[in-house]
Amino acid sequence: MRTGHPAFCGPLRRQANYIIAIFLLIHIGLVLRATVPGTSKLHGPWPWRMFERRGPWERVLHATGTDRAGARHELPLHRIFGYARGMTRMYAYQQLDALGDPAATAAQSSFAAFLARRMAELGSELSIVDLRWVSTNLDTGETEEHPIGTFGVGARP
Amino acid sequence: MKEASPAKGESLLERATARWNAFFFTEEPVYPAIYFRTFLALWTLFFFVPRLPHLRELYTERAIHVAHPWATRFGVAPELPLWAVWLGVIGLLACLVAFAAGYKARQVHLAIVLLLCYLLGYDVSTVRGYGQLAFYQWLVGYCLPYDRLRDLGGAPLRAPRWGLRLAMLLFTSVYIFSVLAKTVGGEGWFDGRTLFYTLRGHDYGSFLVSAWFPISLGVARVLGWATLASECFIGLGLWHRATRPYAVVTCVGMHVLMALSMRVSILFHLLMLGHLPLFLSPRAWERLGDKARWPRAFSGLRRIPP
Repeated sequence: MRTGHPAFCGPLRRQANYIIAIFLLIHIGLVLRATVPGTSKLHGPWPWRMFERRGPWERVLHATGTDRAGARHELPLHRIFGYARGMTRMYAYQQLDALGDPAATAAQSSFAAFLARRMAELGSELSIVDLRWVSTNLDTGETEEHPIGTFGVGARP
Repeated sequence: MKEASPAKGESLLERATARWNAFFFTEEPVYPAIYFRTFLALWTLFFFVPRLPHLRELYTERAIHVAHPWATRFGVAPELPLWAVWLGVIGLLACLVAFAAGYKARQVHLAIVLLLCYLLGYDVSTVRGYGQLAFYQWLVGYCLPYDRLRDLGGAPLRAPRWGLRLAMLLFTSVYIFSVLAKTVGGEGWFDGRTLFYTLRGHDYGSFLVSAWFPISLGVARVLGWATLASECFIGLGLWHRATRPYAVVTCVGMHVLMALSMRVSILFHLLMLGHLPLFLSPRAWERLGDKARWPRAFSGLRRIPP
């Protein structure tokens, strides 16, 4: 067999074998990591998981702002956020774990302040932002509200 | 093509070594490497162009930013000002054009990987799916002999195919891992629930065909099994001469159906389908490289050993 290409000839065969071995070992490691019990610290998800599970519930974020005059406005999230994943209407906030974590109040407050800043750019000064998830059951049409919190945003610089 | 083949009387280790060498180090024309260089660069270009109007949101808003796990682990999450992000993206686009054209491709490749480390790593959220696959292909792609197509005499260059094999293995592993993730790691694929709710939901479903013809759970179950079987077949069938054409057709069919029924980016389908030419035989590539032999190019698809 000839090894003729200037980039990878002769002595570089050994290095190529090392790279191939690392590549294969990474894949074996990924399988082992995914197959160890979920309770172990070594456990990890399967790589390249796509649509691996899906339930009947679908959730949408609702944000309501209260301006200095006390009037409430539903915030136009589709105008505040521009980039959606792929061809979906899933915006950045749908990937924020903090919005589903009751302990992450600092991150939630920071998100509310971000919305207030954007609303100010759209011409509406807010003092309070109320966030909640609204889940809909695709089978029954039943809806459930899951409040995230109410955040004061009036004191921002 | 010169290829090592195990001879009679060789030990198991010698035969395994010979097979390993034949699989990874057989010399082939560098056409597919040149194709992959151009394809990956253009795909990445199209990946970033739709992001241009949203750079501020994607890279400069800490409130909606999820740091990459490695950045969190090492305590570094540099958030660049918008002008610097613009500079990085414009630099990346310029590098991609140069790379696609083959201008100082080795040096430009390193610059692209460095820029992608930031632009994919510090995106608004950790890049998943096809963005991640493209990034790994950029890493693997460095092992491809894409530097030049012809030697000084004008003849097509030949080189060991191990880099190309890694890119192909990475591509097919996506389908195999996807099946394992759905069946071993996930749930609702054997009874059709996951596909049923995915196609009915508004996040990814209710789109074109899935909106025009809402499916029942029974149909979803059949489609779910068909999806698992197709992904297995693509992941394995592309490697065997006899099944390769059918695996290619299955892959194209599955992605076309997905594109017509699910809100998954067209970039995903393009990335996956763009890998299929890597499985063309060297003879087919040689025919494609020789314009006079184009009509016969694809007849070589089944003739060359895997």
